[in-house]
Amino acid sequence: MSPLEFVFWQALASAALPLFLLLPSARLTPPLRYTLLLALLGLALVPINGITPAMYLRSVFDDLALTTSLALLVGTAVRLGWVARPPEAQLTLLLWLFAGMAVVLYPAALGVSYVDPYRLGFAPRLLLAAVGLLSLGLLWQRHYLGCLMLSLATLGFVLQLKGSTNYWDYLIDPALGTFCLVVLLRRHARSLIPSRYRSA
Amino acid sequence: MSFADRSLLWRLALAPFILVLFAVAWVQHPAALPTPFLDDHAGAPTLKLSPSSPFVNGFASSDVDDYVHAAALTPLSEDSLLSVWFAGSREGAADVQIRGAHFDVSDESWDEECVLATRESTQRGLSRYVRKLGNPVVALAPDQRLWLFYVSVSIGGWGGSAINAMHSEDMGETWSPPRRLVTSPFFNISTLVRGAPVFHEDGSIGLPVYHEFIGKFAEYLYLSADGEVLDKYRISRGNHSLQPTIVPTGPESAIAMLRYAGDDHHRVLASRTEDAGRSWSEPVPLEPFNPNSSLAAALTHRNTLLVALNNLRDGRFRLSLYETDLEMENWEHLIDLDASPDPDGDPLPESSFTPALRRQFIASSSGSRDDLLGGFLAEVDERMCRRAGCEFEYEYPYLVHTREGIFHLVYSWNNSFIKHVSFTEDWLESRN
Repeated sequence: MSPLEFVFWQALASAALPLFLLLPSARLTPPLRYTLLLALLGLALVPINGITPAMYLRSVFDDLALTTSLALLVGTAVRLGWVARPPEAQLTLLLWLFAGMAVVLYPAALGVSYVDPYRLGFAPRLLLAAVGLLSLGLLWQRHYLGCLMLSLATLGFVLQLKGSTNYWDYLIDPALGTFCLVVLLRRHARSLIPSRYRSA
Repeated sequence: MSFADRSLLWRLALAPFILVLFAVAWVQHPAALPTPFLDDHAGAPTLKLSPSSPFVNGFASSDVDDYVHAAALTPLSEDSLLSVWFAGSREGAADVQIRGAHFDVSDESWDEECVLATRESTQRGLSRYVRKLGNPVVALAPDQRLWLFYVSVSIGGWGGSAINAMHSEDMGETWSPPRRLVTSPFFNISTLVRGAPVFHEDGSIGLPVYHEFIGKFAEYLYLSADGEVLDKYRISRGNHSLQPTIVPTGPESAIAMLRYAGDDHHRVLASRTEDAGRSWSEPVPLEPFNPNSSLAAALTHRNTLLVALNNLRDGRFRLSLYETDLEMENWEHLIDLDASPDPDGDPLPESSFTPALRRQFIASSSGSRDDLLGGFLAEVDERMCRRAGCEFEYEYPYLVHTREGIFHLVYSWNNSFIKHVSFTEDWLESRN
């Protein structure tokens, strides 16, 4: 698959799959779920004023990280009943991993200091060593989804499947980072709020 | 074999593949350190060109209907220049195009302007929705590839900008499709160009860029000779500096002058590198004022800096040329390139504004665009006049010093024309 073809399929998946996962498609019968997914994929390709929704979303959110694309594909496969939902502990670890990346990366991009972790992705040997060790660790711990996400992101980086030459852009994007941070904040909101302010 | 044994075997079998994958990525991506700056005046001809006059001016643009802004310029050969700018019904409008025109040095004339990129062509090339186009810069690389970098926005204001790159192998006759440079992790927004690119000895490109999303700060984007982003280095931080103009002063040293966008001292900022752009000193304010406006600088033949700027606390009603030493401590005023008849830049009533504008137009066009005067004056009230009166604006200078010993400066002239001023090293010598 050429980078151009990859961009097309990734844009299509990035437009249709989040909607499929956000809609209460779990309540539908399996045939209706497939119908809904196909309809969303088709809608993402309908041009409005010469621009498809997939193209428009790509313009706004840029190309998603390969980890995000894989997470969307796995989520869809779970919803369609092709694979079992990964264990909760593994998902929680991924939430912390990508939320941690987002916290390290995005505030510094606003130029508050001379420290710019994004540069680590242009000369990425240190980052590659860290992510490589992490991938092996995840494999050893039988965290196959985490290992697959990081390894495929690295494979995409080797093949330069995205327009970016920065390794970070294959590992994380603001949408994934924000999603992970929001889920973690919701989970831990109770413990963050002092007990006297909580409703009974 | 038990499940635990099979799982262990799977993991042991997969581990080498992962190791090989990361090893390949490691080998493929060594750090790319900038080589020394290219001395593009090395081996310059000793016999310098002799224009008809040591100081000439004219208009590069030829369309009287559009708002024009943010001009840039590059020499293409001994006797040819290319200037680019953006033009449309107003800044930020969907009809804004990147336009250009060629200058023939031998007969000192500008061709008719042509369109280099539009919102539609950019949209097609990038397979993305594009809402508007903005600042372009142009530069001829040592390998004779002509590079055009320009800003586009898909959503929001200029804070949502990204940079696109096009190149030409035939001096601008034909261009590659635009390609998006990925320069920021946050949806790749908020990176803009304005200052002239510089080159390194291996042909790699140093592109001065700036951010204006929440923070306003400058960076040095380091690109390969093929235009791939290799690294970037922060010149400033915070939210008070924009639009670096970079002047190499030696193999490893360069000065960056920055537009001041804060609320404090309103003076030009300067930063230095002594390692070919890898690190930059904390920007410090200089003597000249800067009313939050773009400025341009170039190194002269006598190892001083020539700086074009609005040395004003507020407004852009006077554009001047200064010379300073490399320490940037002593500033000498050379000439006011254009100025409002009102010394304070106060708005003028239309009755006195139009005759003054007519005089300035005739003086600026040097006859070559005189046929446009009538059409231009008909547009005056819409572009330059408000209820309080009409104002002159001269802004966004872009300065280059060619190997042939001529300085070329382009800037926005009342946002109606791109004005071109050129002068020789002899003219500079005659000023002091």
